[in-house]
Amino acid sequence: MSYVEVENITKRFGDVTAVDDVSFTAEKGEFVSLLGPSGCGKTTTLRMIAGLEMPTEGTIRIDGDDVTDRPPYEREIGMVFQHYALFPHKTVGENIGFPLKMRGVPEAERRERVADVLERVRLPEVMDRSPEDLSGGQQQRVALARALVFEPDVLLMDEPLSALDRVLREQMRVEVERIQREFGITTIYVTHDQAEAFAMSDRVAVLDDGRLSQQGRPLDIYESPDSEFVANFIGQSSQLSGAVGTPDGTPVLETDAGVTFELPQSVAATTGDRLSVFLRAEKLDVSREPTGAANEFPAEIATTNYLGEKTQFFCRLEDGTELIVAKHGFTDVESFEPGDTVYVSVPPENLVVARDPGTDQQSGTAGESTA
Amino acid sequence: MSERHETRAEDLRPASSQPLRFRVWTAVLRADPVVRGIQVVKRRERLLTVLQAGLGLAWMALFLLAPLVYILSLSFWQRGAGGTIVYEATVANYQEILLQNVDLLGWQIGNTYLLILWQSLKFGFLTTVATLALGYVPGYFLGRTESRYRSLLLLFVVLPFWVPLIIRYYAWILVLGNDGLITTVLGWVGVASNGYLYNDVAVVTGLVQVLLPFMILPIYNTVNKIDDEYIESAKTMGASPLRAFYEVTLPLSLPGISAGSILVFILAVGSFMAPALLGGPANMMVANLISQTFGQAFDWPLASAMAMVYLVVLFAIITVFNRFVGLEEVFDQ
Repeated sequence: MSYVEVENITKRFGDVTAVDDVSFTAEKGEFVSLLGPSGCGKTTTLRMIAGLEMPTEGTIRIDGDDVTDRPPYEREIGMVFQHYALFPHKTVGENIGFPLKMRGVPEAERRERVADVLERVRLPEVMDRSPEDLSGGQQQRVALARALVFEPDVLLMDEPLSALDRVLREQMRVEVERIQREFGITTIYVTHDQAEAFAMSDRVAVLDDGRLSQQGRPLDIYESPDSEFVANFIGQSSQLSGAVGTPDGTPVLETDAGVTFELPQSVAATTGDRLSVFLRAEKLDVSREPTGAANEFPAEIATTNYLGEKTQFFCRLEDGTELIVAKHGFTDVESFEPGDTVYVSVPPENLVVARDPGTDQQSGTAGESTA
Repeated sequence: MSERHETRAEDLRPASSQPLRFRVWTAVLRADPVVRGIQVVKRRERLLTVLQAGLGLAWMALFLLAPLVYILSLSFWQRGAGGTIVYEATVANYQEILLQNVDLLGWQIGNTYLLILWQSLKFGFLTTVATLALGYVPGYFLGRTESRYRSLLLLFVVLPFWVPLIIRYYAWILVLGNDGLITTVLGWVGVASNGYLYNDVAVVTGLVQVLLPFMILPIYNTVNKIDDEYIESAKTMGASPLRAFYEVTLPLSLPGISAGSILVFILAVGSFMAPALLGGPANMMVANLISQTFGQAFDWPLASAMAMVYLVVLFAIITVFNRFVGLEEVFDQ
């Protein structure tokens, strides 16, 4: 039995189904992220675990206890809100001491434990300040300290880093993960940022439109997405669809865009199957001359984006389908002009293949899902 | 200048296709002096701001500050025979209202003015406490509810403002008076009574009814602005709804409470109509006394001195209140 078990929960607001039959688990001490675009139901799911929303259907168990119908104040939950929700009328010390006060911990012990937890989040000497005098990153640590000080069963975090600027956000990622490991606390983390989820989580659950699309280790989700949505949402990839044919005996995918792909051996395909391949931008190779590599095809450069750490090539196939290629550490960018013909190739084992649910899927959606 | 003029003209449809009224107006607005004038003002946005602010300030100076200065100077002159004013500086008016019949050592005050001022403050205080007791829950409810009837309920709060003040006080006469609602109803159950008008309770009751919206609205306003996240986070940390209210919502709604209290207190202390209509001779308040001294007694210097003392006392009370609550915070929100 897992430590946190979310079983078939559904939440309907009137006619709108915000969360639709979602199940997932978290082991003790595990860091699980709920990842998805805005409006996918991830925050509602988190709020149901906290007890701030009551599920229409389904069960939530924490450490074997059915807490589905319990109000938040009768669950042992530490929650970090998106805007921290630090009480402006209380000092940092009073804020962090609040959950202890609610549990009847005497004042002296409270101060001691607050000082101790502030030490552990590396923010000593702010106890008597007002939270409004702290920087965003410091407020973040205070919110975390406040959610951890009473040693709750589960730590819930709702996009806690989204209000910070990029550099600070990346620092806080490391910091949140360190603190989580140090406290060994089971954590459920909501984010729309794939990098954030991947950097911190043991496991990621991807939500789409209220439903759970896939859950697993970041590596599994990235390398073998089991749905079109996940393949498009995670990472930057271009999608080409087509039908399987066997011109030389081995099955190949003849895409609607006119490019033929040799499929990885692990894919069992029979003639006539409708499949999609997802081309991960960074797994494509681009060169000026044909190299004879497998799955090589010509494309025309539409634009190039030099981003420093990587360069993006927005290419166009003969039929106008767009394709993104990303090269890391690429410096020769100036020699590629819009209108140039280049040769793009991809080893069969780097193709992500998914079966088309709808048959007449329009091919070639150059999906940029996360920035 | 003329180039701009032409581009403006091009933007418009051919003049002939538009109604006459419109054509006349465009002709007026496109006239060179008008266009130039508008451009001058537009170019000088600061000038515009100064003009607008200046207008307001001039209004205040003319109708608030100037009369105040006039009353202040009046208060140092003397009353002559037949209500005339003797332009001879004196502090006799102040001596009369502050020191006459006042025996500070024996703690005896027989001075009408001071007694009535004290009574006004007392009524103001009682009204404030009563409106707060009655107004917090509705204000809180309106601030927190997600009901689609909220705007309608808010309308009900301000609806009484559509009825003139004097009618609302007269309505209380119908309720509390000799043959009023209460005596009638009590009569049915066999309790004989003589009406409940012309006493402290009647005055304060009327004031509470009239001033209640001034308490409800600021409380509604602050409670409405309290982020749900604060209350939710208190709950996740183990606070029951009651505890969350006491620890979070109540302290965060304090600015609304103080704003409402100040408004109600000032309006109640200065009330003229409630004591005049619902009170008896013993329930006179400071505004009635000043009005009588101006009108019936025709002693403008004395009445002016009364007004000035009242102003200073009220100002002092607000200042002290400000010390404890911090009004900057209230008006900052």
